Amino acid sequence: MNTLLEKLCSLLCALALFAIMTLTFFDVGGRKLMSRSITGSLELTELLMVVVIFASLPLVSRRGEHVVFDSLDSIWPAWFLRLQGVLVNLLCGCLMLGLMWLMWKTGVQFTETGETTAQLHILKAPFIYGMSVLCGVTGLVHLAQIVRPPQALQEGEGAAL
Amino acid sequence: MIETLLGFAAIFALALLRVPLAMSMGVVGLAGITYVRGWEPALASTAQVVYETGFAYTLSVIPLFILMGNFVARAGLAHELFQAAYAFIGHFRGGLAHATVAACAGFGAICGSSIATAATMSKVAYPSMKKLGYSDSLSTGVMAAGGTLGIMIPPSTIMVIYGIITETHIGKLFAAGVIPGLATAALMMVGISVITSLDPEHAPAGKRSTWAERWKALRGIWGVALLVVIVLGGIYGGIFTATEGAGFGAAGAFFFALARGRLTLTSLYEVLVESARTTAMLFTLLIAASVFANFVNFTTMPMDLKEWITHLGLSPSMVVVAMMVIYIVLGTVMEELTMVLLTIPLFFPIVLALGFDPVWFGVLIVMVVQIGLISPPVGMNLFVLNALLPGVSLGQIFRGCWPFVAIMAFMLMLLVMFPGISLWLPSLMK
Repeated sequence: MNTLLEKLCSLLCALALFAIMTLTFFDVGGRKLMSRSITGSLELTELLMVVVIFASLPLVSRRGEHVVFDSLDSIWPAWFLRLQGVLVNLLCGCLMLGLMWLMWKTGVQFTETGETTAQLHILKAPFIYGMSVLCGVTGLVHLAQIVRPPQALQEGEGAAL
Repeated sequence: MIETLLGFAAIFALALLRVPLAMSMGVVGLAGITYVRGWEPALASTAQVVYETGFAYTLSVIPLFILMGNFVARAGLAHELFQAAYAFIGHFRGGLAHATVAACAGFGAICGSSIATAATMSKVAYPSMKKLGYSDSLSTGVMAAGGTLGIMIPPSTIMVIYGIITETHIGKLFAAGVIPGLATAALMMVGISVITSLDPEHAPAGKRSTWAERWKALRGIWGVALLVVIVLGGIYGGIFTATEGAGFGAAGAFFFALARGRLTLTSLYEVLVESARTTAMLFTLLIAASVFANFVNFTTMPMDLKEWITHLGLSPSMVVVAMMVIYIVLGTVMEELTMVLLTIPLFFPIVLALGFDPVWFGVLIVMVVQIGLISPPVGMNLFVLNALLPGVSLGQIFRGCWPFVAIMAFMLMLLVMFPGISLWLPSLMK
């Protein structure tokens, strides 16, 4: 994954997450203290969540942070681990490309119905196309790792527990 | 029934071959629905799960709590917490170890991660303990075990995950964790007293602080204490939903870190991206778990299991005890998030069918995860400390954690025997 793409994804997810935090803070504060909420804050949060999740997905794959059962790693010989790496990345890559196709199809359906959010009337289709594209990028990251395994396999599980 | 069992077997097989858990569950779920219902419904339901999980307001609770914990970790607050705890209980034998547990409990009230709590404490508490001549195995044992309080004392990432997967009320789960978390901390302190009385040389008492010093130490932590009271008190009192509380807490922690001058633009960016990555990792799991759950619900498995359990005529509590034993054994060799995600679809319907409270079972799950995190040979907290403290061998860390594994197993037993410990506080909620 080239650095430009990595930077772009990082920027997108950081901005979206910061926006969710700020939005929730002012929305909740306004509602509890002044009985005034921000119009459409719920649906903005929903749209921003899509950005946070799917823009950071390629980063997670790039860094090998998906939760894997690796307790057996020490017993396998190096050639087996290498082969395993190739097959796993091939499978993940194909799956994510499949998901790209599926979400694109969904996006087309949303374009046809022209579905928008309830209050602010923002079209949903572009966000679903975005999901699709970022799933595709994630798939390509996995396929690229067949040739070039990630430098550091850092599991993300630690951060979550 | 058969197809579901095959599905579970396939997930295990794929996971053993190092296929990421999310991909294993997703692909098996998809294949399963295709088998039961056909290709079109399988694709349609999968697209719907991805879409609905992505566009879900309530799920923003996950990144917001993660963000809150990461901000507080960055704010360097652990030092003040440790100082304050030490000022009050440092003059007991093993005072630094007691203070570490207390500081972990305090830190756990704002951070939902065990690993982060242990890692933060290793920077603050270990140097002091080393200076006073504490043995490495005692000090690392205390930090590893104390760190796990981070996931029992709310907020807690694993509770949020459990709540979402099982559709259990997150606010109630949080409330249910308070007393077990504090009781575990108290039991750990009792354990420390016993250990240090057997080997007093390695755990000297500190000097007694004056009340003036104590008040001064408290001044360093009032800001964060206020944040805890607002966020958790607000959720508990029904003023906030968990999502609103998380948003408020994350913003509060952000201002807190900012006010302490610990946040540059670069570190803010790092915290945000790091939290987003953890979020994405968890969401792939949530999406895959829902796809798989859809498949399970299409089959006769849930009904069959209920019938089978009733047919066996086992006493309900024996079933739960058996589950806990399985968890403790699995926890020694498996990483805990994997363990929970793989077993919940199987165990949870049984627990419900037997008429148990899902909130109570959630607390039990957190407790077995706590135990798993510090039980060798595969315990994430132990590995984290090993990585952060190059001077201490893994063997020493393993030796130090055993007493605490025993203490926590005892606590688990109490939680199983007396559900009231977990359920009393949530029962008072509206």
